[in-house]
Amino acid sequence: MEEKIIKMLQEINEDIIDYQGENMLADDLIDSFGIIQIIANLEDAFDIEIDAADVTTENFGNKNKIFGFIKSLITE
Amino acid sequence: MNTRFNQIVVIGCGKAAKEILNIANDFKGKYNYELIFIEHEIAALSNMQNICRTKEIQYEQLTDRSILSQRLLAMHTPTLIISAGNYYIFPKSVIEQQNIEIINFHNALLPKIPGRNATTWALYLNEKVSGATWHYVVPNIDAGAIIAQKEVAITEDMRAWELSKKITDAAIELFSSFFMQLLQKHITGTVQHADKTRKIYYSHEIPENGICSINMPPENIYRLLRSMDYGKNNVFPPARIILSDGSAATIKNYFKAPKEHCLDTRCIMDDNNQFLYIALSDKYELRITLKNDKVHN
Repeated sequence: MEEKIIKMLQEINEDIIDYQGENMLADDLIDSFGIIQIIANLEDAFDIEIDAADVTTENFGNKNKIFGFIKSLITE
Repeated sequence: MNTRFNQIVVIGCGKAAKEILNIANDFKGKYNYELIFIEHEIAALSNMQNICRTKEIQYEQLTDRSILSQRLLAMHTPTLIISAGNYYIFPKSVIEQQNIEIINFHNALLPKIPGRNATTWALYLNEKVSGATWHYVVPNIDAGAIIAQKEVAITEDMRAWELSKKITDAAIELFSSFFMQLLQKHITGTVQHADKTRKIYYSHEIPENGICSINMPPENIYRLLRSMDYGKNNVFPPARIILSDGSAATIKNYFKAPKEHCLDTRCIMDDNNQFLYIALSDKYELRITLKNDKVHN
């Protein structure tokens, strides 16, 4: 799962992989369209539905937060 | 360097507003103007306040229309207002104020598709080309002289958010190309010769009211869904589809995939009424996931 997500993030911006901060949007590593793209790719790749209310910095702030969030959806 | 303006105000949200603000900030020192960012509609995950704090740009959050209008009317110094990703309609009193010049980014090739959700309408109307327009703001909606335009090709499977991203990128590139010139002198622009009966699209309008029918040509169903698809930005309510028994269900998601279920048939529904497959062409089918909210009309 993590490998797939890393590939998706690399497509948008390679720097996201090494990013250690809490909010990659605020730190300009990704823009609002990038977030839409990631979500569309995640939904297709893992056959999940991400609720709009879950699109928060808590779930999408960095790669580890995304790993954790997707893991929680898959194991639900 | 000399400029005609003492003050520049950027109003808007999203990527367009952010990048335009960055460009205006880059020139601030050289031209010595005050820069203000006004956030009227706050997008999900907006970080504009943080950006302004970091870059020491004056930030104002004015979500109330009348308060925003009063704020603009109280500006008495030569001011350029740059509207990008902005849904506030400037009142005539602001537009006609002598010391204020307003430019706006519109997400279509004016005079075509003026008004709201132009990206959606360009896709729905099966346009092959759309683009970005920078124009002066006049009392009539999206009718002012055109400062610059850039075309964006609409490709086969493009969704609304993908076209929107490309148009936004084009708008940012265009803005960089004329901004310095605009700071120094008025750009005459090209007058729009729009038909007086031209259709202006409003925010409450949705193609086909957001409802497709299983009897529609498959490519039209697919195009309608793509034209309404802004990812998790709920620009429109979810699309619905009328099924062969006359009932209607909400579409949860959709995607185009190699033909697997519709090899010998135009469309097929799974036994649980959850998945609908519609043949799109010899090679592809449309896979639609339905919500469990089927109602008979």
